[in-house]
Amino acid sequence: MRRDLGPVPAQTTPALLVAGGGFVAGDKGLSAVMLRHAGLAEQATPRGRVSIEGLLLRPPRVLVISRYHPGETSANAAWAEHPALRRLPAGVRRIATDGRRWTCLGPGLAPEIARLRAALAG
Amino acid sequence: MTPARLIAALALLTAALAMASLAWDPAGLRAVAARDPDLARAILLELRLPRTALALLIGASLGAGGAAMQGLLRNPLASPDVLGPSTGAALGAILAGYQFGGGPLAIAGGGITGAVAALLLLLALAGPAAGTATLVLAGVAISALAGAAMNLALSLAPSPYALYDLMFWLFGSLADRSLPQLAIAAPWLLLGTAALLACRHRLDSLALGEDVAQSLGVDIPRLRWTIVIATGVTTGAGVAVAGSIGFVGLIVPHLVRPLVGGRPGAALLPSALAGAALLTAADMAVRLPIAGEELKLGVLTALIGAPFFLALVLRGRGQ
Repeated sequence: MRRDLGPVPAQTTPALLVAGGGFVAGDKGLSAVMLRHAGLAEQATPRGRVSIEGLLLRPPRVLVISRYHPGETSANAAWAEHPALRRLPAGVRRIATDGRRWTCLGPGLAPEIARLRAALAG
Repeated sequence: MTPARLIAALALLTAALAMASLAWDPAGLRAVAARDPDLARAILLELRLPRTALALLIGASLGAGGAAMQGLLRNPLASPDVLGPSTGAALGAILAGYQFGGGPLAIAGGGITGAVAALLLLLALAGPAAGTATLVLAGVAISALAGAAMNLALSLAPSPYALYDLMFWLFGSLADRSLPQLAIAAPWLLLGTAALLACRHRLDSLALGEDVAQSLGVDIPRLRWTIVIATGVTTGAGVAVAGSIGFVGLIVPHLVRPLVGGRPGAALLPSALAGAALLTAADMAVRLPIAGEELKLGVLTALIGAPFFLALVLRGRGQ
């Protein structure tokens, strides 16, 4: 797990890990600690949630979208498919992540962190 | 105030609130427009327009539906959001979407079916001329049954996100609605509200008693079916895209009826306008954070409506 997580890079990129419904990870939790190993610094967000308008007005440099059981109906999943998200500036890097790994934050997350690190570098 | 002046005043108020909703945080919007006009246009057209339009249409349909039901059942506590149709609509939408995997159209269809079924069950349990106690009891029973079934359906849904959605279905929200959702709900909301408004003269006749209404040529069973189906359609379509938003249909007719001489039919159009204004204002109020948190729309309408509901019950007891 330590090998997959890797050291925290000296420079991190501001990012937002957002799940369906606009729920965000928060900048002080375990998810934020894990994201730093991928070179991403989770932005502080009031109320633990972002609206789509908020995302468009104050876009992060990197948007990590957590996808959980895609194709199954839920209002939260539908949020992530909102047509207005197409209007995010072209400079915003969008990376999808497997939402199941972030649910339990166990050893299974380490390969996902390694994948995110590689995706960011690529 | 004459009915025409009342309608004009309410229409102006509704239009002003709609403009305020679209132009929310005008300084911020101007700043965005200055640096990226396309983004400002996208925010207005793809986010704020569906949100505001749905607030107007759903508010109008709840106001008109509440006024029509109170006129039809001759009961001041009758409304689509208190007596079971809202919860029935949410159950129908949940079954269609989460259990059967239907898309947005199927969810709207499920919502409409659930609302109509709940209304038919209400009429079957309570009867068309039920007293207040019987009506409220029947409505509570239907709401409890549909609410329990909703919980079960979400708990057993394939998506693990489903249970998180319970808050949306119970408390409602217009945040982050989309143009496709507006396109699905709007025709049903408009058609249903128009059908309700077309009943205004017959409702005024019914207020004189069924015998008098029949002698004036009112087909009472047809009027009853029209109001039940139209209220079910509008409630179902609204709940399918915005969740359950309570008490608007209950409060608004009571505020309007004294201004139109107590006539149930004359109260329909003003109730629709007042419902649209109330829901648009409430949707703006929930955008103001309270202790850093944004309230759900249905929580705010319940905070306003529940004390009003209690006051009605106490007043009815006193009589």
